[in-house]
Amino acid sequence: MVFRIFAAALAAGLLSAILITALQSVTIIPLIHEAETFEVAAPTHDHTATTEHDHSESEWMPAEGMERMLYTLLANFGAAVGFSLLLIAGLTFDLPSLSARRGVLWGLAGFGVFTISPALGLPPGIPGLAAPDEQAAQLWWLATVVLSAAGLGCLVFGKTIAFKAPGLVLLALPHLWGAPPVISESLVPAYMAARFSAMSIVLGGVFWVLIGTFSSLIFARLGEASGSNQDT
Amino acid sequence: MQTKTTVAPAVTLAIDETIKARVLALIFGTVILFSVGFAYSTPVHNAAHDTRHALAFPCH
Repeated sequence: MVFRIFAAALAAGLLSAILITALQSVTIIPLIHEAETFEVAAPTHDHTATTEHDHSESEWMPAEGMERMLYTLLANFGAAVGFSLLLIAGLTFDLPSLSARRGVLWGLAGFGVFTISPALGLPPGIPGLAAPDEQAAQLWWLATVVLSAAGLGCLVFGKTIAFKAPGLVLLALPHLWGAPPVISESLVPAYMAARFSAMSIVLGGVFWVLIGTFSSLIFARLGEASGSNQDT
Repeated sequence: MQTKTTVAPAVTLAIDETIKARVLALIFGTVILFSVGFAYSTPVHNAAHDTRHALAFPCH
């Protein structure tokens, strides 16, 4: 079972990462590069106010062009394998109905938990967009993902109102609490930032559907191959 | 009788194995996602910069 989960996650992660990187490279990544020209050009850019920013000359960063794209592919691969591992861990509770269609549903659940819910409080931010304190944002993001996953789980798998109602509360809780306030000024045009947010959410949906489809297909296939679909 | 005594431990083993696999998947998945999306190390941040923004991990 361990081998089956990890092998499926690696293969699904690789396929999803290659496809999403190709898609990003013609959609959202040109937008990131364009936004960076505003960031660099901004005369009032204050590095001390928010966080240590990444464009200082002394720190290593990938060279523009192919190298930068390869690191993005690598990071996308890491994210895709991580998401696939979590998704397949969920699939193991759902073995009798294992299918690509079911995988897509799990992918959409991941999209809701990891993309939609956090986006309500922290809209996907283009570089240079006004943002909250980074640590506060990460903490809120993490809490939102955990609570949304628990809430969605209660809502979908709970048989009675006694499970479903707390599920709704868990889903709403991070938004009633509220995301941390924005503390910096935007350096990019609003229209560009809005396009970025919309694009990021749509690509997030595509990414999760790819991960759900490939994970479930490969995980099911590996089960057939070992002939242990029933008891593992 | 004999078949009963051999089936029971096999089922228990399969369940233990599944739980172990789930826990490992959760741990490794979380660790990988943390490195890609959250780690403060500047080289890691710079390498994963475009991914963090594109996938909407909170980033500066």
